[in-house]
Amino acid sequence: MLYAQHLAKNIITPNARLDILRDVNFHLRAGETMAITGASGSGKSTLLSLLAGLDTPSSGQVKIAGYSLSELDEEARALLRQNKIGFVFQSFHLIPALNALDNVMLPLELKGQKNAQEQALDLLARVGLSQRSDHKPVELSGGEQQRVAIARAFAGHPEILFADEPTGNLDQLSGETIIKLLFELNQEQGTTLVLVTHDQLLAQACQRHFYLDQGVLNELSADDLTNSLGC
Amino acid sequence: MWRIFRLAIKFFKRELYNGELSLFMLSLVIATGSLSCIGFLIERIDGSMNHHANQLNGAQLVLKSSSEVPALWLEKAQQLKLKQAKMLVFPSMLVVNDEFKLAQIKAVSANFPLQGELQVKKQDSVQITKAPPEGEIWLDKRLVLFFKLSFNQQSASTKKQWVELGDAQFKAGGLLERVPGQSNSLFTIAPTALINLADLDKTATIQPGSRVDYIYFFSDNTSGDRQTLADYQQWLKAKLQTGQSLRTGVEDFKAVNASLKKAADYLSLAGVLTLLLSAIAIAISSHRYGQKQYKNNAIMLCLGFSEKNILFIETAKLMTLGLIGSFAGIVLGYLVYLVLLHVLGDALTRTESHFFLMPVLVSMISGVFLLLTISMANLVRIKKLSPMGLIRNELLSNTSISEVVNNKLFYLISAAGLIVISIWYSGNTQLTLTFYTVLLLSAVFFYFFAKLLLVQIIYYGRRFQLINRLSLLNLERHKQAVLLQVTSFSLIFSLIILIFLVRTELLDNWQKQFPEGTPNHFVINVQTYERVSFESYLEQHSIKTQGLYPMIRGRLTHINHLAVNQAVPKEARSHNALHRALNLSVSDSLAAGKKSPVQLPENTPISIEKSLAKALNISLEDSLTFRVGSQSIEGRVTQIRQVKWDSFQPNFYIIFSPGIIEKYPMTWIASFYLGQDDKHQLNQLMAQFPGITIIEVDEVLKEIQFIINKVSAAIEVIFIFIVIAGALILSASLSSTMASRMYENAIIRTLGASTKQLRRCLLVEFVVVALLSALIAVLLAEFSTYILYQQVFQMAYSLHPIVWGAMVCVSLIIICGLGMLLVNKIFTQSAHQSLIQQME
Repeated sequence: MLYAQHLAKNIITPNARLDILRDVNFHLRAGETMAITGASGSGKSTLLSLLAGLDTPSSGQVKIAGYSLSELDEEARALLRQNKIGFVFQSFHLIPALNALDNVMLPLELKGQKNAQEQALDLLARVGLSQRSDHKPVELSGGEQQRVAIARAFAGHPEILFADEPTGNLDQLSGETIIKLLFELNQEQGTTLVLVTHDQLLAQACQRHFYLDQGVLNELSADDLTNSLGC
Repeated sequence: MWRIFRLAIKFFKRELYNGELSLFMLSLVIATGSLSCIGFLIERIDGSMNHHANQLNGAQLVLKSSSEVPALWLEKAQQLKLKQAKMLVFPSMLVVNDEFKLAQIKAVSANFPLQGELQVKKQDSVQITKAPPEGEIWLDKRLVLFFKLSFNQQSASTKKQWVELGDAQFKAGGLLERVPGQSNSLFTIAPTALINLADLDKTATIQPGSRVDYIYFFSDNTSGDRQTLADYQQWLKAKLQTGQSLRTGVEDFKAVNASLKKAADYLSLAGVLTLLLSAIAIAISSHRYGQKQYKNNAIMLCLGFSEKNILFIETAKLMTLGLIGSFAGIVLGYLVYLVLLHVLGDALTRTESHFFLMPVLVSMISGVFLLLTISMANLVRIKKLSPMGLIRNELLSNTSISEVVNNKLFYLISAAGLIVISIWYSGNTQLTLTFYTVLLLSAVFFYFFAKLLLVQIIYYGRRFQLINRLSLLNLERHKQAVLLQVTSFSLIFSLIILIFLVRTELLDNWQKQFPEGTPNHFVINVQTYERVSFESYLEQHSIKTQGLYPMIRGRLTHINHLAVNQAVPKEARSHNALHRALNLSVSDSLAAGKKSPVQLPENTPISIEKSLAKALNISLEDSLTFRVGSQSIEGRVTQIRQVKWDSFQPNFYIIFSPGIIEKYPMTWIASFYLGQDDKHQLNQLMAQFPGITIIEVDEVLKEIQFIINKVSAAIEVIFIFIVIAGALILSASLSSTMASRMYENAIIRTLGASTKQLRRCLLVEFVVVALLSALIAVLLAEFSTYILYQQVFQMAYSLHPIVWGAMVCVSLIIICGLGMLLVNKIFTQSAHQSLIQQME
């Protein structure tokens, strides 16, 4: 489902070249769940944006569902995102002017689906927010906003979902609710899940766990995990 | 408090250094810059017009009296260190080689004129000078032609030419080209001769009982000190008696005044409009700045600052910003104004001063006041929220109109302040209030009209699949934002159309007002028995006239059978019309004007001029009694009529219907055009009809044309300046909505919208905004123009279809073109970058 081959990203500053990602390689099968952890500034969010086609790498390539992102133009990448990819962001990124229902309807309308409202209402009910469908983002708590974001991410029935620290801005209880929802929907729709997180428990819940250290991505084995948790 | 103030200044410096205040500062500089620049221009034009009037008058203040004024009056002027000059005007006979000619003699003091140019032609060259030297007389063209005198080099060297006046003999020293301080409102009735006042006694022409006008001229000793003169004027005014009058500026020149009033009204309108555009610019920037400050203020709240401290810091920052920005704007405005003066050449150079305090004060106060009140409307909202709420940008995300107009009090203060400043700035309460009332009412009406149209566009767009689905949804979701944009864009557009239409119409009117051959001579005292031969004389000599009008001298004695002094309001008792005989005329067409619905056959219908009716509080159906000779005529007002005093046609305050007053002794009046080279015909005309009086108005006509040409040039420049200011504000307004667009579009891109889809959605939105803005702007401008033409400019109104088409094109080009250009950034950077940027 998702391939990264010799993926690198660097920035040329006036003084030096800054390597954010170096030779990242991995392969993820359909339906698998993957967690990427690492220290702040290690390049996690950059890696996620490259994998999702939101940004372009300095070298290397990414393949999603058989499509090589570097071979696609922006239009084709947009179409790929529309049909196969979903996103959940740490800062929710809901459109402030739209209410919860409209926010969830957006990807469905992009696809031109006629029963967008019904589907969006179903999803809002699924995340427990059917009573808040006409509320704007400012009128919702952080946890509620993230639930709307999850409903929006799953509205397009994506084959792969990228979540960038989805619980980073939430309290423990809300965080747990979000994690639960993500995995439930992942199970229901058979979606491949790629998570960037600081939350070791959330990372543990994933089938595969990668650690990003100064731009280098390493997959952690069961032993590594045990050691890292101090067991 | 000092500690907090220092902190505010520190924050201000940091924000300025970081560029957070750049945009705010820029719009403030543009707003106050355009305000001060136009203010300087308006003051300059105003000053130029007054200066020009002073040149016509020969001084800043002119006192006319039918007898010598008490010595105390002149001593008082001396005490106040005012400059003084004197002129005596009287009719007398001039004799050259046994030929006699009645002339208007003007004996002037040596320092005459105090202002303006006395031009005399001597030996082929025109000189600008003071009074003639003792023993010399200067004559105007009619006298020179009549006496067959010559002032070229050859004749001057060969023989001396002598003119006799009373007991004295004068050397004919020059041909008068221009004499300031014409008595009788610039009209020269008899040919003029000028002598030095010191020679007057020698002539022995003034005897007890002679009819002499004493004219006294006063001017400031030092330029700029107008208060002393104004005080003296007030002092004199209280002492005036019958037969004495004061004249200052252009107020008494009816013909000049009517033209200049329109120019002054236009300039006032331009000033108010610039002020409003500036307020819009400041409001946009303040709103954006206020929103940006929420997070900083929230953090400060968390750190233990009180709300009071934060409001103090914000006020101090805004005050500093307002003062620095306004000052920079005024400096910029002044520099642009100096450049404009240079561009305008000699059009506006004839004033004493380049710099005026009024625009500086208005710009500074407007800048700081509007900045504070509008920004405060945003900032005081922090009181309603917890620090956490602020950190979470609860206000930032909320863009509904009800939230925006939440703090009504501050917006009301801003609006009220804006109107007060506008009145102060324009000095024209009626125009300002009319303008704001019309604009406010029509803006509210057209806002709801735009809302209705938008709903219809969405409905029919969906029903007939005229617009793609996503664009429709986009429009539907942003309905409120679209309406707000339409309101602000259409307001800016309509202001520009309004100033354009008034400008075009005004210039056009002026051009039409004085076509080739506009009458520059009036003939009065044509007797009834001479009428036919007079008309045929004019026809034979190809002199075109608009016809002869009867004129009967009559004095208004009673209004509604009450003696006039009792019938009119107290303040109208000194009105000139009550103290002199009026020229009554007859016309069979009392058609134009406000007419009485009731026609009473038993009463003599009278038509009265509007301003006179207003001054004397006369309305339709009032009875007026006139004394003509020894008899009384009574009539009833059936029409109140607008008179175009600047038309240079014979005009009358009172017109009777035919068949009533013709039995009384009457004379006839006519007007005609005569070129400078045909002036000799006046002497022939006088010889043929010795009883007639010719009034020459070419000087006044030339003056009006001069002023109009110069004011037209200035109006063009001001218009261009307003358009540039409007365009800048428009782009600021458009770019202010860009941040939220960029953010939304970055999110939608991550959800898989293609560039093509996004471009189409944005284009549809911009096209709808552009079309609606153009439509509303045109309706708003046409409506406001109609009201202003009717109420203020007294000009005929017609629709302007060419402007409609042009507005649609301009609106599409600016809003769609500029809008698509501004949002292009969304497509040129990655969605990831866009999101990160917007989060910052």
